[in-house]
Amino acid sequence: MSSKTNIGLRYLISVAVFPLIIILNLMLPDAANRPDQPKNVLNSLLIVYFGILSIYVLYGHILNKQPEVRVQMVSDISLIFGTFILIWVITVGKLGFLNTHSFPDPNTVFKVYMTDFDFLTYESSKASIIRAFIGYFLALATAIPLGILAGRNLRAFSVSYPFSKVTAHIPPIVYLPYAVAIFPSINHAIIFIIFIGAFWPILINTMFGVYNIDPKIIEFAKILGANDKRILAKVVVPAAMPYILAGSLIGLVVSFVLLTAGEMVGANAGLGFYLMYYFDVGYFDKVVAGILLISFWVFFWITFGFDLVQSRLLRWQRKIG
Amino acid sequence: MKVSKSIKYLIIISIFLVTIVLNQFVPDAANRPDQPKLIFNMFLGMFILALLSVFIYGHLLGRLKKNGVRTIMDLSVVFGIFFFLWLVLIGKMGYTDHLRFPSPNSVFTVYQTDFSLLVVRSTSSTIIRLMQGYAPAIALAIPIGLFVGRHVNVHDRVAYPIAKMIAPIPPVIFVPYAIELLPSIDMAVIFVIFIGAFWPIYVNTVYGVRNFDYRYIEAAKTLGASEKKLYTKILFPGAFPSISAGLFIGLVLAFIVLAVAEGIGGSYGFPGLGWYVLYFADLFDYEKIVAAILLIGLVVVVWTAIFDRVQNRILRWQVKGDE
Repeated sequence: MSSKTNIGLRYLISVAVFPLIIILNLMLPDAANRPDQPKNVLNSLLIVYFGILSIYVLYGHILNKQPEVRVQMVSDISLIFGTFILIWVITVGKLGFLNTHSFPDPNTVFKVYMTDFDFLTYESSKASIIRAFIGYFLALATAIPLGILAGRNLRAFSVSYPFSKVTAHIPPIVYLPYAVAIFPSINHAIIFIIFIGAFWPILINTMFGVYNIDPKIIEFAKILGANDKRILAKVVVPAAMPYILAGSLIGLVVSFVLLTAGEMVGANAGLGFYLMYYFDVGYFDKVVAGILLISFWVFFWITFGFDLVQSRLLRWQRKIG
Repeated sequence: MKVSKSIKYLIIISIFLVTIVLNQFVPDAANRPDQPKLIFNMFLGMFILALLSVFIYGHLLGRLKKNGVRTIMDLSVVFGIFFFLWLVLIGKMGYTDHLRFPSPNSVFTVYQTDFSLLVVRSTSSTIIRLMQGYAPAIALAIPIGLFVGRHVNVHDRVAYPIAKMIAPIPPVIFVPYAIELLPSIDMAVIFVIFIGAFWPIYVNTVYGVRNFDYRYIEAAKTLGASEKKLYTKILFPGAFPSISAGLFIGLVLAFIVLAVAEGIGGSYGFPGLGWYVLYFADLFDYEKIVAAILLIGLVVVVWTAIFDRVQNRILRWQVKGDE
C-alpha cells in the first residue's frame, strides 16, 4: 500500500512541475537584460503537455489501463524534461544569467515556432520527414530480403559479411557530393545517403540473425512437414526478428543523423537547412528552436513509431518471458 | 585440396596483374585527358605484394588462420573486379562523361599532386581529431555504463529516461551551437564527435550489464570478490560482446559527425578529410572527391582492422579469465 502511495506522489510531482513553470513564468518579470517577450507560446505548449500527461496518468495509473512500467517511464521522462525547462526558465529567463546572444531564454525560443510557423514548424518538418521516410523504407525493403537470402546461404554469407563490415564503416555522408553529381537533385542525393546509411546496419543484423538460427529448429519444421515458404514465413523471419529490429533501430537513428547532416551541408529545405541558415546569420534563438524541434521529431518517431511496432512484432517474446 | 586452393588464390592475385598490364599497354579512351599511369599501377602493385605475402605467409606456411586468409582473398576478388571494371569501362572504353566519372588513373594521380594537403595533413588531422573525441567517449561511457547497469535504481529512475530522450538525437545538430559556445572550432568538432560516440557505447554497455546472467555476479560475490574485482573481472568481460557492438556503431557515428563538422567548420580553413571532400565539391572537382572518398575508405579499413585486433585481445583475456 505504501509503495502505491509513493508511486502516486511521484506521479503527482512530475505532473505538478508543469503548472509550476507556467505560474513562475507568468508571475516573475523577465530579467532586465532580456527583451520583453510574449509568454503565450511556451505557456500554451506547457498547458497542452500538462493536459496530455495528466490524462495519461489518470487513465494509466488510476484506472489501471496501462502497464505500470510504461506509466512510470512516461512520468520519469516528463519529470526530467520539466526540470530542464524549469531551470532554463529561472536561470536564463528570469535571473538573466549568461549572455542573450548565445543563450536565448525559453520564451524567445518557443516564440519562434509561432513566428516561423510556415518556414520551420510546417514546411521544414514536412520536407525532412518525407526525405527520412523514403530513404529508410527503401532500405528496409531491400536490406531485409537481401539479408535473409545472404543469411541462409553459407557461401554468400561468408563473402558478404566481411565485405559489408568494411563498407558499413565508411561514413555515407562522404558520398553526398558525389551523389549530388550523379542524381538529378540534392533531394534525391540526400534520400540516397539515408538509404545507404540505414541499409548496412539492417543488412548486417538481418544476415547475422538469420545465420545464427539454430539449424535444429529448421530441421524440426521440415520434419513436421513445412515447405520452404512456410519455414521462411513462420520460422526464419520470426526467429531473426529481434536482430532485424535491433538493426532497424540503428538504421533509423543513423538515417536521422544523415538526414540532418545532409541537409546541413547541402540542402535548400528541411530542418537541417533551417539550422544552418540561421547559424550563418547568427540568430541563436532560431538555432536552438531548430535543435529542439529536431530532437522532438526524432524522439517522437522512435518512441511512438518504432517502439510500438517493435512491441507488437515481438509479442511472442513477452509471452514466453 | 591445398593445391587447387593455391591455384584459386593465384588466379585472384592475377586479376590485379591483368589490370596493371591492361593499364600499361592499352591506350586511354579518346575523351580522357592523358594521365600518368604510375600511381594507379603502383597501388595495384602494392596490393599484389600484400596479397602475395598473405598467400605465402598464411596459406603456404600456415601462419595465419584459415578463415582469415579466405576472407582476405574473397574481399580482394570484390576489389579486384571493381578496379578492373572501373579501368576498362571508364578509363579505356570511355563510357560516361569524364567530369563526373573520372578514370582510375586521374583519381590516383591526385594522391601525387595533392600529396601534402590530402594524404599527409588532412588524413593526420582527421585521425587525431577522431581519436581526441572517440577515446574520451570510450573512457567515460564504459565505466558510467557499467555503474548504471549495476545499480537498478539509478538506471530506472534517472539514467534510462535521460538516455531514452537524448541518445537518439542526431549529434550533428549540435555542431553550429557548439561552434558558437566553445572557444575554438577544433574543440567544437571534438566535442560533437564525443557526443556522437558516447551514447551508443553507453547504451550498449548498460544493455550488456543488464542482460548479463546475474548468477555470475552472485557466484563471484560468494567467492569473495571485491567490488573493484567485480567490475574489472566479471561485469566488463561479461558485457564486452555488447560493448563492442556499441563501439562499432559509435565509430560509424563519429565518422559521420566528423565529416559534417569538418565540412561546416571548413569555412574557417583547416584541413581534414571531410573538409577536403566538401571543399572540392563546391569546385566540382570530382577526381579529388573520389580520391578522398577512397582514402577515407582506406583509413576506415585500417582503423577497423586495428580495432578488431584490440577487441580480439580483450576477448582472449575474457576467455582466460573464465578458465
